[in-house]
Amino acid sequence: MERAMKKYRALQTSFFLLLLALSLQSCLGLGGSSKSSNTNFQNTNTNGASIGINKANQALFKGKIYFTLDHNLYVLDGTRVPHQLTHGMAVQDPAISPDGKWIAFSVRFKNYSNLAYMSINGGPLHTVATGNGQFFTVGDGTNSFYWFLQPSWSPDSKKLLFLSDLQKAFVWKNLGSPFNNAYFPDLQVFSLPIGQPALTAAQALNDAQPVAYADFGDGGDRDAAYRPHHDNQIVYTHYTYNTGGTQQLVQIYLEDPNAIANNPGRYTPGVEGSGVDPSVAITPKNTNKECLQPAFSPDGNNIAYIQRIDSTHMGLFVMPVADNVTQNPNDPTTASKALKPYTSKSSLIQSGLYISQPFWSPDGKQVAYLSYTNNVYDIWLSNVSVDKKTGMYKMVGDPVQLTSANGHLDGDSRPAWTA
Amino acid sequence: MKRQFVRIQPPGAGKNSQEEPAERSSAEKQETSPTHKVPMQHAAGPLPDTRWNNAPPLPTNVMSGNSRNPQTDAHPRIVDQETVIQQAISRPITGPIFNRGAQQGYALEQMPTSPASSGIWSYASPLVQQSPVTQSGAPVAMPGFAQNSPERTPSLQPTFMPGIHPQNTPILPPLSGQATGKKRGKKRRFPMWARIVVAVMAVLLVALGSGLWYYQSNFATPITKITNQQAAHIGEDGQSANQLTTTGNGIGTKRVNILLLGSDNDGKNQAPLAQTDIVVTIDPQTHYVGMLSIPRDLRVVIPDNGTGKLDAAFSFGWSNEHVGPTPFSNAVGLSIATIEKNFGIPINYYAWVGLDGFVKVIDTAGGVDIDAIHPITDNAYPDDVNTKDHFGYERLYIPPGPQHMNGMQALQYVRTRHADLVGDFGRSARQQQILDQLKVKLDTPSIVTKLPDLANDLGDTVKTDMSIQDIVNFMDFARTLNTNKIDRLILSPPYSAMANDKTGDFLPNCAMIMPKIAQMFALGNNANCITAAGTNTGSSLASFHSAIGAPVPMSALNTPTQNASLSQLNALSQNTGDTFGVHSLLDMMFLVVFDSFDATKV
Repeated sequence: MERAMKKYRALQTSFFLLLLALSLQSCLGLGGSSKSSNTNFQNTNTNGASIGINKANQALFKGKIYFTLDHNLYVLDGTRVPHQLTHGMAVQDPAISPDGKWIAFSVRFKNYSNLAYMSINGGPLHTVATGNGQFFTVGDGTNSFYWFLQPSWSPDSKKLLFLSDLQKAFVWKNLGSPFNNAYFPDLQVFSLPIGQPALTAAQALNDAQPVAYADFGDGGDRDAAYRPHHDNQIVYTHYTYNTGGTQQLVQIYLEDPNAIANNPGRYTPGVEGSGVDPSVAITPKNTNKECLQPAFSPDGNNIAYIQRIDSTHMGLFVMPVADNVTQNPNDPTTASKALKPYTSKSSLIQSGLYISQPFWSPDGKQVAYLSYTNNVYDIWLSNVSVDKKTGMYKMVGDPVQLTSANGHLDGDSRPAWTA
Repeated sequence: MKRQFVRIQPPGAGKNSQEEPAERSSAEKQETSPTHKVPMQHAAGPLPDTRWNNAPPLPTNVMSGNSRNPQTDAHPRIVDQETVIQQAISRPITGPIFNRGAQQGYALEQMPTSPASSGIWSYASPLVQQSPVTQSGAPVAMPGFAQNSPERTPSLQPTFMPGIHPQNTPILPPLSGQATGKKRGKKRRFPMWARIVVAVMAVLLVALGSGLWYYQSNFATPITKITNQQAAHIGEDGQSANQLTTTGNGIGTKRVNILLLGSDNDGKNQAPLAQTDIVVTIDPQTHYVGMLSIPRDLRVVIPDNGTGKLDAAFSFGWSNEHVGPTPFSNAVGLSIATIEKNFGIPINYYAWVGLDGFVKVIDTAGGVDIDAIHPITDNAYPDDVNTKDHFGYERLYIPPGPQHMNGMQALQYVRTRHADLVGDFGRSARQQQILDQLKVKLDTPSIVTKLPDLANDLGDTVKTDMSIQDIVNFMDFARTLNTNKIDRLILSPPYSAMANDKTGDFLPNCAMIMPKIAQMFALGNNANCITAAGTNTGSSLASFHSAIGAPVPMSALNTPTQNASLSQLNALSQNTGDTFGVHSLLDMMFLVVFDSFDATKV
């Protein structure tokens, strides 16, 4: 009995001290977070980083997914073991040629970037164009550096669509003061054939074809891509400010890539509402509906895109794309037709924190995207299908996390998926 | 044989002080001889333990000690007694003896009559040791003891000491080891709550000591490097140098002008420039807060250095090795002198931030994840952080959309001024994004583990002549501000115009500047503006207000309204865990980097 009492008191004291310790721990915020571990993820050490890949059946996929970890290029196939393809280069935005032979990407350096491609299995790097240059004088920032970014392949796999400030030093008199007296640093869309020796920026300027102009002052265009199985159509995101210059407009546009080249002098860069543009908006001109990062489905009939919900949340949507709206883009009827799918057929697939960079599986049955979970970006897969009643895309089942990259997956680089 | 350490519960301790433990074994009861009930003549006295062996006879001087003052005589008696057994351990038991003698009411009842039990008390009861010593013999209330035997507390006399029996009371032998073991645990010396209190106090003491050690080893050095860094007092000639004698008492009732400087680096490579020059003025009596941003390219007269861009004043001061005690104090001193000379604004305090510190802080916080609201392009972004070329440029391209940014990328994102058609409107939106993310990062409990690193980040990249308390008060005050009501003035066009000499300098439009700064800083006729800060130094100075602003105490600043606001936020600051002022130091850094009081609300 005495021993029992003694033991009870000791336990009582221990319990009290334990409570005290826990209280102190709570007050001081000590202790680690209870991050759930998923045993389905098998870790692979790559370049010193441990990357987890989901081995569960739900994460099965066909083909190969290319993505960047710490801006090194990796490929993940059906074995779900990542293989590193590039080392020591700042690779961004891989894009696979329609013939399945090449993968193009941009390589970042301080002050400039290069356009390059290589075999989808790795190997020698082919530089299409380099933006390297120099600062001319101390004190004014004048330089001959250029950006070549976000390549995308033409349907015949012979040309690259890309973003550049190749025309930054051009004087666009129609802009008026002060814009005609300043550099035009906003990136615009150009195309350039591959297969020739690496071009300097000056050479690229001669050879490149302007495809889509930008507006001054909001950074220019993004996400340019050809529309599969639809000749002479490209899609891109256009960033600009409204005519009042106070609110940002972010819209997705469709355009004939040859409109500018076929109508010399007709189109120029500008500011919002300043001139005639060869593009037609397929998302609304509404400062509260910022749509970006379009990705064509393999058949070219639909796009997945991101719409900002608030400062941290985004929605992944899928909508059909109107046909025959690029021939006469400035016609109000055409403009209305181009916007109709957004208003009537756009469906929310998934929303969440920093959901972004959607990309399709080659068979069009899955849409993958980046999601921000546990303070890091990872690739998630979602099965999609068309609802027979509504004709709109819907998600089938729950999305599945494919990678557990521990913060190494680059949020600013869109992955690519090929058969 | 260390009999002093034999653990025996003193008789009478605990709730059953007068009772034999109910669970006591019959064998133990049998050990208690009737003759050993002699101490019962002291009605309130404890039952002497019958298991003592015969103690050696005490010396005469000790034996006569019944009437001695226990506080003065107890020790020798104990020593004398104990040296028979083991002299070396006599010292530890002196304390309890003194104290027990002081607590006579308790001692008479509870005190064991053996040196062995004295030894037990000395180690088992810190509370007893800490009890006040009283000479009167009045009972000292001992919670848990007296309350259980109130009827015995008046019976205080005669006093006797352990090991020295009262008259006719034999000195009882110590317990045998076996018997001690049986007795152990049966008589509680302290109730559970007392043990818990002791344990809690011990834990708190350890925590306090650990906290002190934690502060000394992690925060003391950085905060010493940051605060109370006085600037050289550079006079009109640009040469005379004395230390400013700032009081460092904080914001007071008088107007305070604080110069905020931001530099490209910490000056390890060469003399840094001050790209950010902001003067904040606070008038506590009217609650007026003004914020004057002076472009780095504004052409000014720099004392003893002709004319030049304002950002060069810091660099020139840095290079004047013969003036002040350190290059940094010279740099700040010359910047202060330049502001005062060109505008007549007296500067009371300064705070300087190295932009690389911002980079370090973001990196320590693990970077930030934001949705870049649009593509960021800058064809001529200043490449001046952690580089040797202060006049260098680099090109920026930051893609839009969600992404992770390290410290340098975050700095670029918030600092570029060429990426928005809407100028500072767009820049403010980007800054707000970073601030929101920083708030998320810095509000997480795990940031506690990074506080030392953050303090180190700040250690080399934030300096001020304010004390840490000044800074905390200043930032607490800043957090209360309605930023929409802050009077902002940026001396960009139309308050200045680009010079036509291809220097890239901007010339002040004094006709517009003078009345505005006179109002903003309540300068009256002391407002100044050098209208022709061209190539001729000082030739067209309208006036020169040479007096360095007399330091005014910040702590007395408060009007009743402001006081309330400050006190509330002081409390808030404490509640939100502004550990060692690191939060306020971070806010001050953000204030300079973002050029906005909104940044203090992280």
